[in-house]
Amino acid sequence: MAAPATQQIKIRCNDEKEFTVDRDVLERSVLIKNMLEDVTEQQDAPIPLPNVSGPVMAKVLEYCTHHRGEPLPSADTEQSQDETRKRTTDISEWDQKFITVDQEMLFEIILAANYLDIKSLLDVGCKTVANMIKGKTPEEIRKLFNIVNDFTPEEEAQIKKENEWAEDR
Amino acid sequence: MPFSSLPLDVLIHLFSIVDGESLLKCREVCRTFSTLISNDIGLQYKLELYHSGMINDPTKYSKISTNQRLESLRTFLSRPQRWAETWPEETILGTEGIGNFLEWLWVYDSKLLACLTTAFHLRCFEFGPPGSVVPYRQWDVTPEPHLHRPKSLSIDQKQDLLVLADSVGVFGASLLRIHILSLSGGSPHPNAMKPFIEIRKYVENGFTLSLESRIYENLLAIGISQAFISQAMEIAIFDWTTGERLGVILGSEYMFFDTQHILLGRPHPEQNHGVLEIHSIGRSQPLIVLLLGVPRPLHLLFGKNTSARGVSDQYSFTSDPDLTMITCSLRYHSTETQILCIFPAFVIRNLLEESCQNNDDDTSETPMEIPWGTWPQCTFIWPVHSQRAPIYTAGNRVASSHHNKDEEETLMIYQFHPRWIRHPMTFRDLGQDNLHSGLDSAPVLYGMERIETVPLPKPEMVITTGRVDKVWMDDGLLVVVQPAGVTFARA
Repeated sequence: MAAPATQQIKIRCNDEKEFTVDRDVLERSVLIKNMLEDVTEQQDAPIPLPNVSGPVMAKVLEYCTHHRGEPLPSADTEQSQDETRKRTTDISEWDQKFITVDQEMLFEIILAANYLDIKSLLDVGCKTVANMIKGKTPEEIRKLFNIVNDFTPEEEAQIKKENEWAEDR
Repeated sequence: MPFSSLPLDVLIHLFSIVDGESLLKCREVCRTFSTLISNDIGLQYKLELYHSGMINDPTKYSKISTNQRLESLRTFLSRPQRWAETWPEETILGTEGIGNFLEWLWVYDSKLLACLTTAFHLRCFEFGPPGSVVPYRQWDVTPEPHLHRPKSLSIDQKQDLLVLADSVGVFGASLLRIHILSLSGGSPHPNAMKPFIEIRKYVENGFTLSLESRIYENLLAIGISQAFISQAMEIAIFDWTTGERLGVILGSEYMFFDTQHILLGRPHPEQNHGVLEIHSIGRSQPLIVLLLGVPRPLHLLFGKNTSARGVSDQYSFTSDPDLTMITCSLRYHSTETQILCIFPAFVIRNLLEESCQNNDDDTSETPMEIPWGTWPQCTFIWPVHSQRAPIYTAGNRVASSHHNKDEEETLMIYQFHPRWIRHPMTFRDLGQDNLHSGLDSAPVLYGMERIETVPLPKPEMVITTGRVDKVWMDDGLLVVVQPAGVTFARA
């Protein structure tokens, strides 16, 4: 029987959930890519990912599978990153659909993307949050994300004043 | 999981994506956000950029550290707004009848004013300290009487130097004579080995030469171009002390000196662009080439106060002596629109530094090419109310004069401090496809429909006057030349 075209890698999430995934899909994560490069011999033991849960990992893998084969941003593409960051609303249709999840999941995905070092996914997540924030007042932002206003009234007044100065020239 | 429990580096990454306005709002949300935004240098820079109106992000082409950029930006923003702060309610402080035959006028350091009358008579005035209204000293500089027609004049007060260029045209040829004079005495300058330099030029019949001169220490640059045709000739650089010609830059349209750099405007050899080049003195290749999205046949003109005179007023440049800001205005005769682009020069200074650094690494003299649309700029558009609505520019000020039906004229003076600019930054991608071949086609301005129309800031001053012939502005002095005389206003 012929060997599989691509190597299969096993990973284990923090809820014991395991996935067996093609190596090139997993290598969209710079963290896992580096781990795999460090290990020279074939290992059958699954890679433990203590910071990611099964349901989140399933989402992340969905993203990685869709984007497999696309060139990875290299470390020295600082310039092009700025380019992409510039346009906040610029999320592809598939990504937009993919990231239409509840807030809890959105933050989990961002966190996982950060941990697994998947730059493009982190950007998609952050851009989504940025779009949610856009045009909102501080109070609306608090309400939206359930953030407690922990300023003293004096502090709040001070910041408001500074912001007015910045906005009204 | 709550938003605010995201790790700090993720939050910083997120805030680096949100727009400036939202970033400000986020500062007001909670302590964690506020502290984070206030303490991260990249985010601070972003806020400062937003605050200053320069929301285009220059980081993407600059290798200079954020710290340096922030420093640079802050220095730039802390420039005093002298006029705005000190301009008195009563602005017209004195009227001095210089004469109705005033041809050209120059102001230096808010103190020295030189006027050239049509009788080829040069008169200098010196104003006293700020607050003084009338000139307290005046003297005449009368070069050797001759039949030449004066074309240009440059003054370097520190060196007591006055350079007067004139020309006489005979059957298609023209002899340009550059007089090296002492400003205070009018006699040949004692440090000049030759009292004048002569240049011979052949010009097409019926066209006259236009001259412009600049002095930098012992260097004297004479820009020569033919009037009425958008054709550049050359900039000749001399050592005025010896009279020796040091070099020629061909095909340039205009120039400007600061202490280290020469700015040149010229058409791009291949593309349909105007080009603004910044040369370092003593280098054959430009350090930076800025491509302007301007159809090529338009005339470029540089200088501190050259926009109103000169070959064509369709397109003009002005620059602060310390390169704090470069503005250019652009107008098409048959469209009632005037465009003013402002390029904050701290960015240009950064580019220059970067360019110098890069050139240290490799000795190739390839200039850095910056296409239109990728460098911070701001574009204002305002309607021109009449055919004759000149724009005068000086430093970061722009004066625009408008007629109404009763031949009343309104002079509006705007000061373009970045803090006064809200969101006027526009990115325009004038790719090759979008460019017209030039003025042969309809006078449509490229990218016009895509330019955001930005309301102008409130004018610094509005003066209703009769006909205005010329305006001169400086940080401390406003000079309005009218048929009736010349009005000086001091800060």
